Amino acid sequence: MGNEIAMLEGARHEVDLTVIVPAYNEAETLGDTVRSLQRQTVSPDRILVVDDCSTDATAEVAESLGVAVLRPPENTGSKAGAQSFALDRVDTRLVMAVDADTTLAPDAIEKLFAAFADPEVVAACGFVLPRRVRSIWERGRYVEYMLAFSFFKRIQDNYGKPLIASGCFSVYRTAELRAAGGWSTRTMAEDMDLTWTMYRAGHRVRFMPDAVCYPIEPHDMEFLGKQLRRWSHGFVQNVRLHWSSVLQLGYLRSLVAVAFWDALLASLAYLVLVPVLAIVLDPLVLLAYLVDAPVVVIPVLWQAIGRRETGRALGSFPAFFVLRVVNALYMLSAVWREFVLRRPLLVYEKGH
Amino acid sequence: MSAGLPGLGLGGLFFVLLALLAPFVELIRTARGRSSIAAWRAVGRQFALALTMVAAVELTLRSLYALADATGLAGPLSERSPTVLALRPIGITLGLLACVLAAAKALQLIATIRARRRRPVPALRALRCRLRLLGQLGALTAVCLTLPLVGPTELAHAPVEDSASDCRAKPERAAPCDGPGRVGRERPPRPAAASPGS
Repeated sequence: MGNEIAMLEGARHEVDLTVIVPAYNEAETLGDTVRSLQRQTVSPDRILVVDDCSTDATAEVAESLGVAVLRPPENTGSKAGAQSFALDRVDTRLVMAVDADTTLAPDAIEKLFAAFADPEVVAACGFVLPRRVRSIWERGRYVEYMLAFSFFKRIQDNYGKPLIASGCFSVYRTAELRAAGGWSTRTMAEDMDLTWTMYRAGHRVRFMPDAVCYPIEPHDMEFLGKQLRRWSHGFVQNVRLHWSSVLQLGYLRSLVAVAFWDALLASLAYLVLVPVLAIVLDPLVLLAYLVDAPVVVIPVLWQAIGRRETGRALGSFPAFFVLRVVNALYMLSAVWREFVLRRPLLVYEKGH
Repeated sequence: MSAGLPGLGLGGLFFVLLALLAPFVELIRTARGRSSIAAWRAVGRQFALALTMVAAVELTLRSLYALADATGLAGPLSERSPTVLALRPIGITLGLLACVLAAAKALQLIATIRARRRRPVPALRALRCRLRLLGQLGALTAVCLTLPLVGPTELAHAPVEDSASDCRAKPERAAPCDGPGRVGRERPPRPAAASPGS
């Protein structure tokens, strides 16, 4: 404990941070994001809002809150493009990327900074939770995040390789980020691309569960579809792009192999095989859909009880199974388009 | 997961196993002077969670079997799960996981060997290589899809060693016999452990 405090104090004295907030038509949500950054226990040196040629009052909102606004000559076409545009103007040792629809807990940056006491760590990400939990999709995502960040991601961190430093809230060492080429636009999941690039270069990435952020998640099918299309295509594109280097990284290789199995064959089995077996063999096969329910509910409840959100977690639980089916459909579609039809997703569609 | 990957499937089992192994890994780190109290606390939390999950899955399986028994849809629990854990479905899932991890390792070995031998390849040969690779991937996919198919089918025919006497002993449970040593209605399959999709 003493060690941790000493490390934190060390990190606190070294605060040298620029926050980049890429924004395209985010006038409604940007104010909350900037205010949450300004109320941090550890203040960043500079907040840069990249107004990516918005057609609403995004720039005015940012200027009214006293932060610097950058405007590229034309729309960069993606979040990664807007972030990279700002990266050229960063002169601090650390740089943070925060989505314009994401707010941070007051001590989020302070908690995230603790990771950088280790000189080998070049990136750190935090715990993500949906800010609004109302629609079925937000509820499904709430359970998905509670499960992923309270169990899976902690284990990934324990074994030294979180699968992704989430793009909505991560801090990087500027020099290493530049050396990795910044946020690339070659895939639809620039955060996964960057994380795997950093692993390939032999760097460490940490997950800090006490650093919490709250993005706005898709509330309807239209936004959800755009987000899932990006994520599923992004995952497949990253597997294609990085497969040779991922194969050489023991734990990450296993992690990606299992994730790819689940993405492809588990989706097929979930959507096709189980119903077919239920018809051909016995309807009792349908019980297979319920067997892993405890694997979801235990870590979610564990986390929810600590956060005093037990009712919300239990109420949201069924939505997770609906979201899972939708996830599976989008993932299969992405694999089909990317691998079989050879029609990669190239246009970044903004969802949330 | 947070990238919108569907379901839990094999991933669930993979992470539960990693959590159960974590104390041993941490023990090695401690011996090398690379551990801390905070790390042990995190590992303890993961380990406890994983144990609770295993217990909960087992409880769910047993509840489902009991429910199937009570409704007359399946044979008695004692016949289907003689051990403390429902080992057969867990074993099938573990086998699948081992296959996936072994396949990834094999790919790594192949990639390493190929990288050492890499030299310019004519277009026709490249096309042939691509077709061969496609065939191998197809075969691998077929095997992978067959495994979960074989699992439930095999489970559906689970313990059949004394089916004729079983038929005589419990006429109220079993369907009419078609002939000696054969039960008219096949036993319903068990669901796969912790892995609906795999």
